[in-house]
This record gives sequence, C-alpha cells and structure tokens, in this order.
Amino acid sequence: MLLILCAHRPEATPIIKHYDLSLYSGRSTFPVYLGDDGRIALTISGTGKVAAAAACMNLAHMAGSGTTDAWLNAGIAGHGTCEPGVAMLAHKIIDVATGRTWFPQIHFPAGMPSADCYTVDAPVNTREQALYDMEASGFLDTVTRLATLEHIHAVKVVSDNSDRPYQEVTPGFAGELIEAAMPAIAKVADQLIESSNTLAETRRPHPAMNGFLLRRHFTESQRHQLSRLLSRWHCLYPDIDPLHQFANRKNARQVLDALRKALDESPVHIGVKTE
Amino acid sequence: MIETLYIEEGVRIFPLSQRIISRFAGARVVGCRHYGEVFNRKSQNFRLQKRAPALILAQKQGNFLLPVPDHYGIGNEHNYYFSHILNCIYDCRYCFLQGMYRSANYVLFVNYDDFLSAIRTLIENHNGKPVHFFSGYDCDSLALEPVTGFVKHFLPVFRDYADSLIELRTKSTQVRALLDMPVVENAVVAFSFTPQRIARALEHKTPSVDRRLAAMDALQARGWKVGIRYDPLIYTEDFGTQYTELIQHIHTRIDNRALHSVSLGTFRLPAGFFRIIRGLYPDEPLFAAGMDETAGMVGYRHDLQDHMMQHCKREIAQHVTAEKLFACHD
Repeated sequence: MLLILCAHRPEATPIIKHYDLSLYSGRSTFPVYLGDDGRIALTISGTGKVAAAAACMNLAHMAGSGTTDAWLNAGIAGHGTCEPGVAMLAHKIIDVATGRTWFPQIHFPAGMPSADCYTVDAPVNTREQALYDMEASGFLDTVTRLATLEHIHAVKVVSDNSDRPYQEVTPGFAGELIEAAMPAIAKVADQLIESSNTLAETRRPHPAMNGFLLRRHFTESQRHQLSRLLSRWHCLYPDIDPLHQFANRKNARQVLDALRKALDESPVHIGVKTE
Repeated sequence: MIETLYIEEGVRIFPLSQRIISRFAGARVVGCRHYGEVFNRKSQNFRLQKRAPALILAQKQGNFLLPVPDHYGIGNEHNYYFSHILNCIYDCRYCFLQGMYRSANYVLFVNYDDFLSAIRTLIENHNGKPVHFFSGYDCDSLALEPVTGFVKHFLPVFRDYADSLIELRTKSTQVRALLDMPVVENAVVAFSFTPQRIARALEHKTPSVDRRLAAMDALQARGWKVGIRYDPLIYTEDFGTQYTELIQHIHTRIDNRALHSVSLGTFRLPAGFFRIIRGLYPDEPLFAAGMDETAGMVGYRHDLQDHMMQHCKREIAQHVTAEKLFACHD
C-alpha cells in the first residue's frame, strides 16, 4: 500500500484524479482519500511540519498501515535556481530549525533529478541549490517510525526560485505544476507500490494460519511463533497442508511444539535440486 | 553501477574520493557529516537496499585492526583483520553481513594511510613475531578493486615486513591490478569456492567457479601465492558428489605444490544474525530446516558437520599435504 501526504488540496487534486481516489473521511481535520483497490490512500495536512506529522499518524491509523507500506510526500517546493515545473526527489531532508537530517534510500530508478530538501518553518526567498519546503521533515520524522527508509520518499515540484518569489505562487499554479509532473510522480509512486507489495509478499501469513487460529486459542506471542513456523513450513513443504498434520493437537502449545519438532528434524537443503 | 554516492564532508577532498566522484559522474552525490547517518540506521531494510546499494565514502576513526577469532587463522599465532570496505557487491544468501548490518550500502573508508600506519605499528609492536592480516571478512577484498585501488596502495607495504602475511579473500575475478604489479611474496590471494550448482542457488552475482579458477590460474602463473577456501561448506542431498567433483576439478587444474593453503568450515552464523537473516528471507529454504544452536552459533547438526568436514578433508588430502590444510570452526 502507498500512503500519500499532500499539504494542500491543489497539490492533492491531480493525484486524486490520476488514481481515481474517493473521499473516505471528510469530517476529520485531515481529509482521507482511498483507492477502490486499497493500493493507495492520501491525506491533506495543511501547512507545516507539525500538521504533516499529525496528518501522517491520522492516515496511518485510518488506513491501518503496516511496516511494509510505502509513504510519499508530494507537493511543491522552492529552489535556488531550478525552473518551475521540475520534479525532484529529495535525497536528504534537513530540518532547518533542529538540524536533524534524514536520508531516504533510493533503491529504484527514480527517473528524475534529486536534491537536498530543507524544511523551513516559514517561507523563504533566499536559497541555495536545494529544495525548500515546509512539511518534509515532519513527514520523515513521523513515518520513519512506521516504515522503512527505502519506502519513504518526498517528490517536490519546483514552484518558485530566486527569480520568481514564493509570493507569486497561487493555488491554481501549484495545481497546474503537480498536474504537469504527474507522470514523473506516478513513476515513483508505482515503483513504491511494487516494492511495498514485494516486501508484503515475504511477510504474508501462511494460508493455514487462520485455520489454526480458529481451531485453537493462541496468545499474541504464540501467534508470532506460529507465523514464523508456518513460514518455515511453507519453505520446506509448500505442497503439504500443515493443518492436516498438526491442527488436531490438544492446545496451541502442543501445535507449536509438534510443528517445531517436525521442522527441526527436517533434512537441511538449499531449495533446489542440485542434480 | 553506483547510482548514489554519499560522501562524508571531511573526505570529499581526498584524491581517492575525487577519483570515485569522477568515475561515477552520473551518480547523485549526497553529503553527510558521518557515514553512520546513512549506514546501519534504524528503519532500513537490507533486502530492499540490495536492489541498488549506494556507495558511502567515509573516514574510519580508530579500531583499524581487530583480532581474528580463534580457529579462523591459517596456522599463525597473531592474527588480525581489517575492513577498508563494509559490505559486498555479491549477494550470497549465507553471508553473515546480511545479519550484521541493517544496510546493504557499501562503505569505503578512504583514509588508507591511517590503516597502513596502524598495520606498521602493530607489526612493530609484535617485536619480530609473524603477524597475519586478513582482508575480506566484511567485504570481498578484490571485487571493487577498479574503484578502490586497494591492492596497489596496501600490498607494497608488506614488502617491508617479510615475516608478516596478508590474505586477500575473494570470489572475484578482478585480478588485473595484481597481474600488473610485482609479486608481493608474503601476500596470499584466497579464493572461496562452493560447487557451481550450489553457487548458482546461493551466491548471486558472483563469477562462476571456472572464471574464479581462471583468475587463480593467472595469478599462480604470474608467481602470486594463492589459497583456497571451502568455507562455508553447504549441505545438499548429494553433498558428497558435489564436493568431490569440485575438489577434483580445482586441484587437478592448479599447481598444488605452489598452493599456499586450503581452509574449510561448515555453514555457521552467530545466532542473532541467523534470526535476522531468516526474517529477511523467510522464503529461503537454507534457513528453514533444523539447525543446531551451540554457544551462540547456529550451524548444521554436529554429526552432519563432522561428516562434511571429514569427507572434504579426505578429498583434499589426495591433492594437498596436511600442513597446508586448516579447519575453521567456532
């Protein structure tokens, strides 16, 4: 699943349209939009890093996000020299007020240039060769608690620069910039979805997991043990249903012991026939 | 090959850093204060990063040399290892690095002269007793040689210390730098091998057994000392046949009399690393079946370990004298 944070509605609208997202909860301080297939959720935070952080936590809660999910902060930003309309990935995010830094790990072909991104508490016009925004550090600070740095990125579309001050950026212009950059944003978004799905696949519970849980009472700790043991079972015996072998044990403890014993006594191998 | 270069601001001016920046002119260059800001931070996933690892240029601060654990040397009393690189371009499923680091990015410590000073000091502190140095524990010694220039910088120093020895451990075929320089008599280039079919299943992105052999051949022909490392030995249903064939294949091709040493050890991992790697690769059968855990190490059951070691020792003994054979274990 990909969870997207935008600061303002004009930035969000092209993304909502592109992915055909529907309003899930408009009453919340932070409106949430969802795709029909559950692959994408989006929220709008308002200005600033505190709002961004709060909106991310709200989105995580409402979308039921997990550790394999990906996160994207999409929006406009200032830059020292780049022309408006250039989409850039943030490869380093610096919170100007605190000096804290984050390094999103780019493990896919981004298809766009990248730059440092300074998150400031108030808009600025004096700039270096870097992006300037007001949300990214709040976004990173929050979602690094929820997901892995390979799955947390910020794409910023340049809206203003040394020649064109931020005061000239209107909501309509911001929307047009995001709309024009949508193919580039979607390329990053789609790769994040693919990567998130791949990671989720490695952690997908064994098909027999629910069957065991329905038959016996497992504590939370025992559920984790069961999940790990079933994962090993699937590796070694993908064609044998463990329910038939182990579900008739008297209680959860006996199920786990029997499963573990069977696995530990399994002959070691490397998964491919070497001959 | 490298799409992202992280550079500690303090090493940007190093000539090696400048060469690497030029070499990867298309890479994004990201500055950092300390490599620890990028490498091995929480919330990183080794498996995902392995898709496109970044290169981090950094300066090592202290702890240049570390003692080698007991039973890992090749017959000497004083053994140390050092790592000018952390992590490896190859992707061997059994490798402990996957459990040791959260990050798959490569860290290259560019302050080579500080390593060499530490090596000189340590040798001199041993008052003439031979010291063995091992490179290639936390990386492959040669795989990034065209980028690092490690061989040209490090090996000549050992000419001043004839009683000492340096081992470069590798699965790579990057031996051009060695072939282009005069032989360093007290250097050993040690190649790791597993049977080709096992390598295909577990040693992703590595050169084939035959390409490694060709590199070893070329080095031997040029007068370099070479070693063979059958470590880790990996069990399969046809383990005996696989390893008999591999050992025959290698030792009928190389000059066994000129061979420096052979070492072997079965697959084993510190228990903590094993659990991390199993979590990273729940779909990997190598980690799914029963293993023994003894004194904090996970490995094959002892009877199986003994069987594997005895079988391979017997096969190797047909080609190599006993004093050149070393068993590595914990």
